[in-house]
Amino acid sequence: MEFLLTTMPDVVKFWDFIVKAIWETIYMVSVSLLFSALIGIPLGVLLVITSRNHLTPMVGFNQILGFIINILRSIPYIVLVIILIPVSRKLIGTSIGPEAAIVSLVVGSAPFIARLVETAVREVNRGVIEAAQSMGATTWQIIWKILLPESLPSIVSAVTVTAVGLIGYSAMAGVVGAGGLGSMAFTHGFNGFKEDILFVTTVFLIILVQGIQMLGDYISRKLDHR
Amino acid sequence: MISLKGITKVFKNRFGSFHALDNVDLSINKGEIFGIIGYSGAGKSTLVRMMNLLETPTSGDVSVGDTQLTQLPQSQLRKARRKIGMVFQHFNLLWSRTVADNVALPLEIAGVPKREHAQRVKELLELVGLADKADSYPSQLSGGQKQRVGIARALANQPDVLLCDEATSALDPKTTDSILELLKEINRKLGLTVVLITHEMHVIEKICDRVAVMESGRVIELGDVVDVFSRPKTTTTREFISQVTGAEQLEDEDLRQIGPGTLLRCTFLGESTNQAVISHLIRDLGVEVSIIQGQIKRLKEIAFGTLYIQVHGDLDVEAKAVAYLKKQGVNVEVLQSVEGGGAK
Repeated sequence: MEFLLTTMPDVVKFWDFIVKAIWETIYMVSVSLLFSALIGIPLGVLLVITSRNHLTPMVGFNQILGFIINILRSIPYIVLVIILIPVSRKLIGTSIGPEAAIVSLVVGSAPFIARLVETAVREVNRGVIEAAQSMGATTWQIIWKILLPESLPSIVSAVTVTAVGLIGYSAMAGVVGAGGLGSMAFTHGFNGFKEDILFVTTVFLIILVQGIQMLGDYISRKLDHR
Repeated sequence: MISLKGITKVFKNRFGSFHALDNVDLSINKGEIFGIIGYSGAGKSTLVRMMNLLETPTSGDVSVGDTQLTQLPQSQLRKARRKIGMVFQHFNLLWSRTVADNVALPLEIAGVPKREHAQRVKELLELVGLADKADSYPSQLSGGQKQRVGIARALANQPDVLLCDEATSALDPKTTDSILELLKEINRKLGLTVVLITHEMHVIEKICDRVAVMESGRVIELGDVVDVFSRPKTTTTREFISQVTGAEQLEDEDLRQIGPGTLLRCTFLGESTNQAVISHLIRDLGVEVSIIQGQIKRLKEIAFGTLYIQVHGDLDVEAKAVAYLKKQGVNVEVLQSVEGGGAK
């Protein structure tokens, strides 16, 4: 304790804030990851099955959807946060705090997941889809019983990559007062010249990223029977 | 059981159009094993995929049983497909599911109550000899075992027809034979109609009752396996036969080495082969015969093959020998007459 007080006085002083920031980051990342996956995975599947020569070809729709996703992916996140302030005010009644950040985090990362899932689902062997068709499967059955289970390890990897990305984005969400480790590193640590806080928050971010990546890799490997 | 009428399939791309199937008529009987043989690009794969409408014809009608598939709306077609099992060259199993769950997939799709799955899957795995592999994943199986799972899966909804799209082409010869045995057994036990396509003559001769030879989107020969392959009308068919008999034509080079004397090509079909024709020829006519080259194969209980023989003697002996063999039902061709030259 004595050692900590001399080397990292501010970390000790602001410890409660750091703990709070950790929870804010975890909260923002997990909730926005959940919603991004719930929106992004179906969009990814839709991008595949509506493409030419797939289950339900709708080329026009497919191109429009792809275009919208590209636009959302082109907008820098920091700009997205600001553009979406009125939207989050309408949607959840506030434009500041972690909840407001979640809106922009979801809008920013759902299209990313959609593209990754698209790649994963497109990899599903055409022969297996054909086998299901020969059994009389409906499009819906093919999605649930073939496309999703067969691409699940890759989808888990996609979600993992997105989770790591979200940790980075969540730092920028400090703009709308979302809090979190990244924001703390920037405001207290960098702008406040408290190098020990900058150091400790960064270490926690590294631990978080490592943990998520390891967990994701583990689940993906467990699911993969190829 | 299956009837294809005037099936034409045109594939279009930006370079033009291509007739994969050109006005094909085909009728497959209930309970038979029907083989379709052809080189790649002949249209056989497209043809077999017409039989469950995985490929839709540009024109023509497809009927399976009493149902005209080409007239059905999507939902009815899906129902009809449950009664048409299909086995694939690359097995097309789901690696994410265990063997048992793979076999249960068609049951899930057909909406069979879950409690009935286990029993049915067990029966099917016993039928294909993989009862002990129920909880393995496909990646842990050999090619032959994977195809057995594929067959069990295709049979899950008790189909009337089993379509095999190059089912043995990815397997080694020994495994091929064991899969063919299994198909034959299933055909006998369950009385289901089997249609298989292949580029291997061996598959046809081993289990098929009837065969269609395809080339450039057309059926060029059709009939009982023995008939088609004992009296081939086209070069393509002859080439396929030589895959199994190995009876290549004698080269001019070989002929010169044999020297003068009567040289006959005898094509055997059916019973005559069983009667030791050559030894009778030697005994009854008192001629000397040397066998140059040849092979006799058994094709579904009936033997057939080609034998090149040399008969020693004068023109009279030659005429007698030819007449004798013809009387015995052997198809004789004089390749080289006794004076040399001959009707090559």
